[in-house]
Amino acid sequence: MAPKFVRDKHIQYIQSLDKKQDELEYWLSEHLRMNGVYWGLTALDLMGARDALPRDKMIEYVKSCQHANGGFGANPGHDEHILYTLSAIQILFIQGAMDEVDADLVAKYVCSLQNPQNGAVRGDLYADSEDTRFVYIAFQILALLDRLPQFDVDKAVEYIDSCKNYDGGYGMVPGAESHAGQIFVCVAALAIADRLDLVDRDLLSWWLCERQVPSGGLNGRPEKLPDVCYSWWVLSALAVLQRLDWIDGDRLREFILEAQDDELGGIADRKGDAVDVFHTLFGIAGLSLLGYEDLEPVDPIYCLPARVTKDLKYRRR
Amino acid sequence: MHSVKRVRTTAEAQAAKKRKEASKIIEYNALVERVGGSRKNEEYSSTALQLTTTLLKMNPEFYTIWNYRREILLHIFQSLPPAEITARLDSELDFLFSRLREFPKCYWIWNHRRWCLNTSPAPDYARELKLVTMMLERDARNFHGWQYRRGIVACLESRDDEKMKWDRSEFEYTTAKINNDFSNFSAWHNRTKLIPRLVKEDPELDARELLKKEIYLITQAIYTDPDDQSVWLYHRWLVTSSDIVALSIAERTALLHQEITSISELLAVEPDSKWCLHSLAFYKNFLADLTGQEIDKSVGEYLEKLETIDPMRRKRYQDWRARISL
Repeated sequence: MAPKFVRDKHIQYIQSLDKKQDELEYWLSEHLRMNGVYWGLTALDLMGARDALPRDKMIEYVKSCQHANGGFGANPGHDEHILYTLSAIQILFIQGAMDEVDADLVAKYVCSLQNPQNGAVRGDLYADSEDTRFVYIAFQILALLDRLPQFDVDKAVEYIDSCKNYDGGYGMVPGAESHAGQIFVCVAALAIADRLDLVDRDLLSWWLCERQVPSGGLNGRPEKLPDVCYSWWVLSALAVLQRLDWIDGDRLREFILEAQDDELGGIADRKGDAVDVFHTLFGIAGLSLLGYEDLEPVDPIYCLPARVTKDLKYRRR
Repeated sequence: MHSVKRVRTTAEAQAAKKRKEASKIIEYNALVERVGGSRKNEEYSSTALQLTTTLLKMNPEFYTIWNYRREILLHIFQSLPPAEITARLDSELDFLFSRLREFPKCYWIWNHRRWCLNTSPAPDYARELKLVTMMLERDARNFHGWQYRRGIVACLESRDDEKMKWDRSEFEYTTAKINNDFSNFSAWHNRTKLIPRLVKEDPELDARELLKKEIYLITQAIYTDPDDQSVWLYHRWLVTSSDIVALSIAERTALLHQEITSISELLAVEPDSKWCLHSLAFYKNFLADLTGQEIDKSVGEYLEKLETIDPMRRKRYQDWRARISL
C-alpha cells in the first residue's frame, strides 16, 4: 500500500526553508533562491496553501532582485539571467502582482537574448550558451507578460525543430541527445507557439512512456536511474501530447509518496534520500497531473496552478 | 539534491554540526562580501582574480562570480600579447579541470571552459578532446561531456584540410564506446548524427554497405542484451529511416522481412522478451503501411501479450490495437 501524502508536513517543510540560516547549505544555495521561492510557492498553491508564505515580503524580495535592464538575478547582488527572470515573473503571476513590474522592460530584456540568425536563446548577456530550455523560458515569460508578438517565435520554433532527434525527442542544442527535461521544454514551447504539429506524437510518447522503470518511477534517459523530478518532465510532456495514460499512474504515485520524508515533510529524488524543495514541487506537480491527493490542478505547459493560467491567450492542449 | 542519503541525527549531533558550520558560514559570507565589494569597485587585478578562485572552489555554482572572473581576465588581457593570453587561458583550463573532476555536471564550469576556448588566440582543441575522452571514461553518459565533445570535434573538423577526418575518427570512437558497453545510448545517439554526415560528405562511402554493417553490429548487441532499449531504438532507426540511404520500397521490404525473421528467431529462444514482441509488432505494422497490404494477424497477438508482460504501458498497447482494429 502506498504511504500517506503528508500535506501538512510538506507545508511546514516549505515554511521552514527560510529559517535555515544556521546551515552552510542555505548560503551555498543562494544562486537558487529565486527558483526556490517559485518552487515553494507553487507547491504550496497546489496544496491549497498559497498564503503559507508572506505575500508582500515575497513581492518585495522579487523586486529587490531586478536589474536596470529588466532581468532578474537569483538573489540580491546576483547577476540577471533568464532562469531567475522566469521564476520572478511566475511568482508575481501567481501572486496576481504583475503590475509591480514594467512588462515592456522585462520583455525587452528577454528579446535581447534571442539570436536573430538561428532563433536560439542564450541564458544571459554575459557568456551563457544557447539552450532549448531558454527558448521555452522566453516563450513563457513573454506569454505571461502578454508580449509574445515582440519575439521572433517562428525562428525560435525552427530552432527547436532543429534539435529533434531520431527517437522523436529533443536535446539541448542541435545534435544533442534526447533528454526528458529538454523534451518537456521543447514540447511545452511548441504548445505555447501552437506548433505541436511538428512533434512526432506517437514516437515521442513511446519514448516517454518507456521512461517508467520497474520501481514505478521515471528516468530521464534510457538506462538511467529513476528520479522524482522526472515525474514532472516526462509526465507534463505526456499530458500535453494527451498520452498521460501510457504510463502506470498508480505505480508512479507510490514511487513519489515513498520518496517523502513523512516525519519532517518534503520529497526527495528517490526513497531514502535527503529532501529538497525542487523535488518537493515536481513530486507534488506530478501527483496533481495524475489527479491524486485532492491537489489543485497544475498546468502542464506552464507548471503553474491551472487556476492562474486559464485565461492566458497562448496555450494549446 | 541528487543521490544524497537522508540521515537522521540526534539533537546533539545536529547542534555539533551547526557549531562546526557556524565558523564556515562566517568565513564564506565574508569572502562573498569581499568579492562583491571588489567587483563594485571595478577591481580587475590578480588579487581580485585570486579571490574568485577561492570562492569558486567553495561554490562552483555561483554563476555571478564566473561572470566577474571573465571581466577580470578580459581586463588583464588588454595589456598582454597573444602568446601570454594563451598561456593564461591554459592555466585557467587547468583550474577548470580540477573543478570538473569534482563537479562533472556543473553547467557553469563547462560554460566557462567553452568561453576560454572561444577567447583563446590559439586554442588547443586536441588537448580538449583528450580531456573529454577522459571525462567520458569516468561517466560514459555525462551529456555535458558529450555535448562539449561534439563542439570540439566540429572545431577540429572545420580547421582541418582533410575533409571528414574528425567525424570519421569520432565514428570509430563511438564504435569503441559501444563495444565496451552496448547499452551506451549516448554513443548510439551520436552515431545517428555522424553517419548521415559521413554519407553525405564522403563520396567514397558505400551507404548500403554501411547500413549492412550497422545492422550486423546492432544484431550482435541485441543478441547480447535483448532487454536493453537503447539497442532497439537504434535498430528501429536503421530499419525504418532514410537517413543513411533512401532504399527503394522493394529494398526496404526485403530489409524488414530479414529483420522480422531474425527477431522471430530470437523470440523463439526468449518467448517473453518484451522488446522482441514490440519490435515484431512494430515492423509488421510498418511493413503493412509500406506495402499497403493487410496487417499480419500476429500483431494483435503480440500486443495482447505485451499488455500482460508489460502492464505499466498497457494503455499504449490497447490504443495501438484499437488503431489497427486487431
